Amino acid sequence: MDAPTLADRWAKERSRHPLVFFFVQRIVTMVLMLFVLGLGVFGLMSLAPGDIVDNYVRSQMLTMTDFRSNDNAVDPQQIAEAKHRLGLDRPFYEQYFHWLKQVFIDHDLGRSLISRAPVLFLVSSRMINSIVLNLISLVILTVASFSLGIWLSSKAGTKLDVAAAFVSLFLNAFPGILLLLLLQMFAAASGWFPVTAYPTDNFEGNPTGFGFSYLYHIFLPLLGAFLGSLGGSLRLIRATMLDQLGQPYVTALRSRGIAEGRIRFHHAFRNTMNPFITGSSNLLADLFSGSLILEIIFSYPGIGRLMYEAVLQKDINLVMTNIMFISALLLVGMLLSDLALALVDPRVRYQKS
Amino acid sequence: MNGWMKRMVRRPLAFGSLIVLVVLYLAMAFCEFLAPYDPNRLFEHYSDLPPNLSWYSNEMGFGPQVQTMSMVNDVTQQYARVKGEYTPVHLFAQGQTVPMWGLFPLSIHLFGTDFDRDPQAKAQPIFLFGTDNLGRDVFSRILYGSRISLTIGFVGVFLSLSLALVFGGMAGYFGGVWDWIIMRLCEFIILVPGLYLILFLRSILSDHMDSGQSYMLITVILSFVGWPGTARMIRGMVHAVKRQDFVANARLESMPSLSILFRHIVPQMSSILILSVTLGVPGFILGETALSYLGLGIVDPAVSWGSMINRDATSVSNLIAFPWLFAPGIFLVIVTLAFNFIGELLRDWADPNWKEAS
Amino acid sequence: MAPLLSVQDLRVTFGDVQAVRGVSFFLNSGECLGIVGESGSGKSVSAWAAAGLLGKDAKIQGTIVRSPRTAMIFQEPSRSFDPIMNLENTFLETFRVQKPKTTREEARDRAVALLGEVHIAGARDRLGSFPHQFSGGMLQRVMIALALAGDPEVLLCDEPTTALDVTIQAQILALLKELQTKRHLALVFISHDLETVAQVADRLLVLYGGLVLEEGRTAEVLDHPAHPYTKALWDSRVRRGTHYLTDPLILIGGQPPDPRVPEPGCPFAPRCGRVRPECRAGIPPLESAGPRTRRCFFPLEAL
Repeated sequence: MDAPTLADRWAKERSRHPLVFFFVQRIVTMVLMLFVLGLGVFGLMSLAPGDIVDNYVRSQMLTMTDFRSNDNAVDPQQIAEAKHRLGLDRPFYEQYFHWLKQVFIDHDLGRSLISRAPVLFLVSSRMINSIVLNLISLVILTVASFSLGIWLSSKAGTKLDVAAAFVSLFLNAFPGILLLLLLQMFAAASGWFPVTAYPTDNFEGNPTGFGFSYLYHIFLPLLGAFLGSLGGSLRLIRATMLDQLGQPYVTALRSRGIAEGRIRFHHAFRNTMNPFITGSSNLLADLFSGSLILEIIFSYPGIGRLMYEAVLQKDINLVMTNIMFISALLLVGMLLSDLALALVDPRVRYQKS
Repeated sequence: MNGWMKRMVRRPLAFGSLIVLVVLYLAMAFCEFLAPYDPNRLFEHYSDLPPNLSWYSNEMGFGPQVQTMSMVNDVTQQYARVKGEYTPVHLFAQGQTVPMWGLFPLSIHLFGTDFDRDPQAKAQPIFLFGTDNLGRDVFSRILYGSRISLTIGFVGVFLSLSLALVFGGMAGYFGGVWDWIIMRLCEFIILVPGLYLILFLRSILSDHMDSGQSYMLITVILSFVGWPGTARMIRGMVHAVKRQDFVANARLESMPSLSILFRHIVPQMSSILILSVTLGVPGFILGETALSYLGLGIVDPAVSWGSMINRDATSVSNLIAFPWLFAPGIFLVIVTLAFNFIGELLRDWADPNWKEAS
Repeated sequence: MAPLLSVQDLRVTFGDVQAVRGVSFFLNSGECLGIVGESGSGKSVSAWAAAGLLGKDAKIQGTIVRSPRTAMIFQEPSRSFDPIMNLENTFLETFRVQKPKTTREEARDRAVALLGEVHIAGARDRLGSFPHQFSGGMLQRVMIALALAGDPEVLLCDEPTTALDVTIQAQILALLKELQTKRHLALVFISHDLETVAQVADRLLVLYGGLVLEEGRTAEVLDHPAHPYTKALWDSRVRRGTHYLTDPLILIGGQPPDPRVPEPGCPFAPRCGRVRPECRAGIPPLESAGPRTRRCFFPLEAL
């Protein structure tokens, strides 16, 4: 009798703890993807036309004492030397590994070119702001589209349903930027709501006050983001509910006398969570993308606005770190939604025995 | 052809949208004729003027006319109407000479006043939608701006769709390694959220460009961000169609692969492609608008609706004082809604079952 | 004794689609009635109407009298289960319809017993499994077990074996026959496949174009078919051991009728080999003598 091979033991462990293995596999994939993404980002930046890098070098040179000259003029040779000093003439993969080392071993994400502030500090504080905003947005959107979607599915075919379909289409099609701008105009004109999205009070001194003020400030922009995304989610849920209610298993349940309400909520509804969760990572990405404009219009100190300012100021360090952070965030989001899916849908958890 | 016209008429929303779009695109084509003035022309004494067309006055009776306004407040740029002074508006009026389609000079416009023809007279220029802070006619700017805003959608969708067809088709047809590589590539591009990726790409490229270059640049960037989504869908469809008999038959006759793809598979997907185009165009238009709004898109002297919004509609106080500056926004809404309504109709036709279950 | 299921002059319309145009049948205790017809003949719709499962969009006319202890099984077992609910909870839920206070332990015991009746061994260990972990044949057995949970006297079977492969089909048919005897169940077996139905049914009902064309005891109907359609259907079956070159399939030419535009006369007229002008003029009336019934102006067999 042969001893069980490593492969056999691996398969056995895998089937015993399906969720754990799933989780681990996804994390490994995630790390790999981030790694390759970073490589791609560096690679793209190396393809950038010369003057970007030159500008960067010039601004770096202003800080390096031995390059400083009286009139701040530089000649190409000095630029080349500075490039060499900064390691910018090495191939992009070398630069990448250097950066990786710098990040993970030295824990140094560098400094912003313009503000000289440490990148980590800038990004992390802004990131939290954006995450909070978008999470609130996601939660409200989920709750609203589920309740409305389920309710509408019970009214399928009626005039109300047709009207709701039109409204959803309208909201979906309406340009998000304009909606936000209109809301801001409304705020300014009526004075009922603040025009910026971040409270001026301090958090430390008065947490509850801050909390309320925060909600007051983000109300209008959140409304804009919510209305923009509601149409799509609502239609998805309504369509999925109707699709589920037409499935053979619903008829089978009815034939056994299961109550209609239970069919609707305990069966159809739980099965509509599946495609919604699958699409939720997309939704999150869209929310982040949309919140970028929102942050700029409403002067909200989030990572979107940071990215925008960094791009305007050609602050390459900041731009790159932002991209990596936001991608990492979205990968985590994807991971969480995969996890949620595995929890909700046994077909994902258990393969056929 | 007749069939779909009949079907379309029964859906007034989509049909109306189609008409609106046709009108707007025609207007775009003939904008040199329809716009009374050059979009960059500065009317020095008429900055921040409200729309000045009126239809009736005691002096001139019914008919399109312009009432003279004079500035009462230098600081807030407020105007008051001058009683009794009116300028008639003519159809097919002689006006400023502009190059029609860049080819030949045209001086007759659809409507205008005698402002250019007769500088001596006290004729006022006509501003259907008022002017901006430099005294440029908003109506003309909207018309000329539509050239960029309306076309960028189609150019971008064409580019994006071509990329998606090529890559998605290859991935679906050849499978194996190609499939894997292309799908990973798609995943990466999809990974970074749209606007961030756009900003990033925009940032690594030079910003000393003329308007022609920036137009192409924006289009390329937007297409680059947009193609993976469609590519994945196309790959799926190619996979499915690949298994059908007639592609195998084509292969037996040893046709080269690419023409198999195009000749056999594309017609099957035509309805989905048309849908992609219709729903993709507003996405591109909004992408350009967003970029121009952020100041990273179309720059002066070129005009686009997005750049107009960026210039004039960002400051809230500005908009409250001079609300007509929001006009490009209105047009934007109309165009995006129109495309979406038509797209909705097409979706109903392509798959009547997608909306409701039994 | 009164029939356990009685359907009289059933007419079902969905908008402008006339699915059932006047169908009557009954089911006595302990017998198996087979309902045969092509797709669109109205067989499934009749059964669903009899079970009370049609939706709001169906306009139903006619009289249906059924026993409260009626259960039903359906065609695609793999799609007839909520994919996110395991077997134990599925049984528990069904038991709680009759007896809301059923505990989990009781449910488990009863489920294992029912699953034993449908010959699923080692059921107790598998109660935590989900539908996708079972094969089609097993799921059909589970569906039968669930149907038996309410201790029915009537079991309606809507094409229960159509989606299964041949060997499994035979097992399920055998199981149904066994349950018919052991539990004194009355069965209604619906299928488009005459051969399959012939194996289980005591009586046959042949439907076409929303109407009953023939009815009678299975052996009689198949040996001496009265309606040309029945004969054609029986002749067109695939016989084992034949080769398509020497014994080509006998097909029925033409297309099934469109329920939106019914024929003015006999629904089978366009495809009938014995058609005459009178057949298209009006719908032939149903004539019966004892258990035999047929609807034809020029039947193959006299009553």
